[in-house]
Amino acid sequence: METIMDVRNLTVSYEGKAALKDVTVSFPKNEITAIIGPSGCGKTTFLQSLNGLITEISGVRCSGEIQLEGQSIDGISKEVLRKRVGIVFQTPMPFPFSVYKNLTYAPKYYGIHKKSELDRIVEEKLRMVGLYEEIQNDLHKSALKFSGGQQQRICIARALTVEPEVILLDEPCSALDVQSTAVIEKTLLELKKRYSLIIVTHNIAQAKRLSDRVVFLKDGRIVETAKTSEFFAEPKEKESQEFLGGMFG
Amino acid sequence: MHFRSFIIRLWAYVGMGLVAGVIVFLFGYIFYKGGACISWEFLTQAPAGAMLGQEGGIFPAITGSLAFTLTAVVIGAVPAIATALWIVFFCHSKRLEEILHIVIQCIAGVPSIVLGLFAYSLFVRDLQFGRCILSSGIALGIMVLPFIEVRAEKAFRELPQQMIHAVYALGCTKTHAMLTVVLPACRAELFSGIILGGCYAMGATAPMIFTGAVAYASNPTSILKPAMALPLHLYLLVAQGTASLGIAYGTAFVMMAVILISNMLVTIYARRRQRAWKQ
Repeated sequence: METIMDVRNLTVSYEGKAALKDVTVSFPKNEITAIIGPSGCGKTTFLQSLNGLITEISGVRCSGEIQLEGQSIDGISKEVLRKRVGIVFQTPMPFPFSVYKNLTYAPKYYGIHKKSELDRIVEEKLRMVGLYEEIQNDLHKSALKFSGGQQQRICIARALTVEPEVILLDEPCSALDVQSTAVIEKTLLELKKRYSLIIVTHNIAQAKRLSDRVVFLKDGRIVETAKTSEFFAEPKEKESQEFLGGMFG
Repeated sequence: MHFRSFIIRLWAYVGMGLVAGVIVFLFGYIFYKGGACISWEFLTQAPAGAMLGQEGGIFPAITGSLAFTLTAVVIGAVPAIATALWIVFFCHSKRLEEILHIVIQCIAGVPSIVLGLFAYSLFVRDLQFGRCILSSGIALGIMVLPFIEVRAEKAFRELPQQMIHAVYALGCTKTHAMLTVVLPACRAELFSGIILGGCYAMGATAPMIFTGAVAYASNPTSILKPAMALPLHLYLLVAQGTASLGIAYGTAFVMMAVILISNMLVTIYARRRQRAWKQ
């Protein structure tokens, strides 16, 4: 199994209180890994540790090592790391600009100013999230005017504009209806051909539908890591069985 | 229970009625008294006559007030917004944040006459700027700094943190996030804070008495020269006695109208921007 990210003995604490304890796990390339677990188990903290966003929160301490393609992230600048490991948040968070400006925001930052090149990026990324046909005539409309599902796909497309290697998704469908969720799931399955995806989800059925591997977190530590089919058919740990059985979560 | 709720409702209604009544009466009284002397001549000519304001108008006072206000707003708003940005996005120490808040509250608490005295001794005398718009502008700028800072900080804090994180997540620097997302997203709130701060500065007399406002001057041409100002003009007219009271009301009318129109424009702008961006 070729891995894209490797986490070794990661411990994260907020003002002295441990949120993640000695987490060790590897994420395979071009696969979807689902991180599941009950509320407050450290899923979001884990995700934010992977691209260094956690360092923006005051009072956080991290120890252990995270590697991206064999290189420790401590040796990569924050900006480069975040460019290589993109993130999509739980609540759709488009910038208060037009769709076009949202999608050209990062390319312009990285020095692309040619109109034809920017147009190409906008079209390509919107097609990748299956949104181009839907909104091609409204590219200059405020991104905030679209539905929640469309906004979330705009955010995914925006994350793709920097050509990341890994995309982290923090419960990307929790604020959306069933129909929008289905469209996003379809988009994610398409995206895994080109990118490695790590998705935090509260929805066990979604993890089952989408992911190739499952990481089950509880109280800040990893209980079980397994292939999705094996995890749902035959969870090895008692806590996993109880979680799937709905005894907690 | 019914009686208590009746008393509370009565209290609320009486309070609301009193506040609304006072505002309407205040504006109505000044507009009624001052409206009589408002004419094209009054608004566009310089004061003339043996006694101040006996003839002519208040045009240099209007342009002077605008010059003082603009200088004050530029001098006050730039550090105010920078301070708010630093506190919200760059300061990692709660203690330092608290200290800064105390300092800002202290500035807000300094009586405006003391600010005038400070600007007079430091800028007018020691640094030899002389009595000019710049000296007054600095005093007024310090006065409106906390006013703008508090509003800017509130606007920045209300912006969803995830939106800023979404910029960081694209590998962009904090500074880029500030310049391209935070400031444009808060433009309406910042603009309204600045204009309201400007109105506050426009009405203040004490900081400019010793530092830059004078009884007679032509239209301002440089910030290194003194100028007339509406509040000082009003003060001098009232000090002259009942003979010039009518013109004093006219001057007050103009000041109130400028402040009211500015407030209205800001409200309309903020609402439009909100409607344009929010669902």
